[in-house]
Amino acid sequence: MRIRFAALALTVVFQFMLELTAGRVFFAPSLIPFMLVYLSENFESGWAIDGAFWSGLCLDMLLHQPLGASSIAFLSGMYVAGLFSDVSSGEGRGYLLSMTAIAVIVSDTVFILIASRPIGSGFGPVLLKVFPRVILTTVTASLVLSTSEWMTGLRSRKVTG
Amino acid sequence: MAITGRLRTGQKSAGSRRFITFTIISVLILLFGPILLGGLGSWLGARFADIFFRGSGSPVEEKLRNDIMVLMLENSILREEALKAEQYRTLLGITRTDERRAVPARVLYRSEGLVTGTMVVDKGSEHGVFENSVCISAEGLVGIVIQTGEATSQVLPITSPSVNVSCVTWPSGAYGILQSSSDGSLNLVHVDLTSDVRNGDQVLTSRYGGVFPDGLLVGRVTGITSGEPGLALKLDVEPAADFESTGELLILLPEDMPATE
Repeated sequence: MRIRFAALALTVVFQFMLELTAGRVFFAPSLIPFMLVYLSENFESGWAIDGAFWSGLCLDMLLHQPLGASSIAFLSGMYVAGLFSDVSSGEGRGYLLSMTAIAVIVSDTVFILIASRPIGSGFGPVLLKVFPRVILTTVTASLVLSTSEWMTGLRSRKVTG
Repeated sequence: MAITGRLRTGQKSAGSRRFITFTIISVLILLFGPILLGGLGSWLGARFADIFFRGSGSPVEEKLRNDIMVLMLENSILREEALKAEQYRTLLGITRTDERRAVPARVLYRSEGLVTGTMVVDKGSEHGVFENSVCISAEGLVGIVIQTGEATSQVLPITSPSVNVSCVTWPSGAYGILQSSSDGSLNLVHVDLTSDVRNGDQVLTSRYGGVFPDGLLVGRVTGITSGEPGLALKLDVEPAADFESTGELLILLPEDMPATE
């Protein structure tokens, strides 16, 4: 439990650093939805709710964004991703990446709409920026999953060998 | 990668309640977060200041605080007075005396006769006094330096017939030339007939002439008569300075001339 919590906290800090250095919001991959999907699918489903709320709150405080905007965005994204998981029976990396992509699309769209002032004024061409970010996030998630599988394979060989 | 579970948000009622609760909390934070954080920040700031900057409360400290407050008040009053003095000086036209340096001098003796006589003062060229330096006393304009030695200077009073001063009356604003008659009395001549000069008006040096700074008090109007041709007024002027009893003078040096003391 502590390791998972630390992993999520580390992801939040890493996301914060990425968005500070690589781009204000939409030029860095959105790693938190991926981490939330990963944790909720592999461990307890409660991570999708609690993790979304607290990680969003921390990210908003770190980035000086409207407080609560990221929480609502992540909660929305995880909710829609959960609906997708209900109608699909897939497993494996593609399923995880699809859920991540859906979570990122929904969370970024919701964030743009509620973080803009006045609320909702972000509706328009700005929303197109979501798609490059989804691609970036999916590629990053794929790399992370491949790396973790490779490392798991190394450990298995070492133990069995 | 083993995927062992499913995201069950929206499937279980407990999860739904939790989801709704967190969503409501997020919306409330979004709406009222800045207000709450602002108040919390102010409160924390005040506590922080109390912890680190709270005074000891000793009597000495209290006294020093009160002294600082009193001094601040006095300082503000003095600033206001200085501002008023500057305004009054501007209103009176005494704008050039600030730029001049002055040398205090004492009258050593007088040469014979008030009309043609001079005053000898104890400051000369080694003190920075030059010819044509203007001399004033506490009462008003006294005269002009006509000769300087190393340690002494001769001052010709304005009662001398050879001294002509461009003057203006206040508040009537009539211009004229101050001249001395043979009996030692002062007159302001060539004053415009239409000017509304009255007895008691002050006579000040005007900005014309170039030798005397403007705004120096010369005397008061004591009489008004028509001039010989009948085209100008002639004013009798009582000098402000008492030339017989004047013992201390202030010699105004020419502009951009530093005093040696």
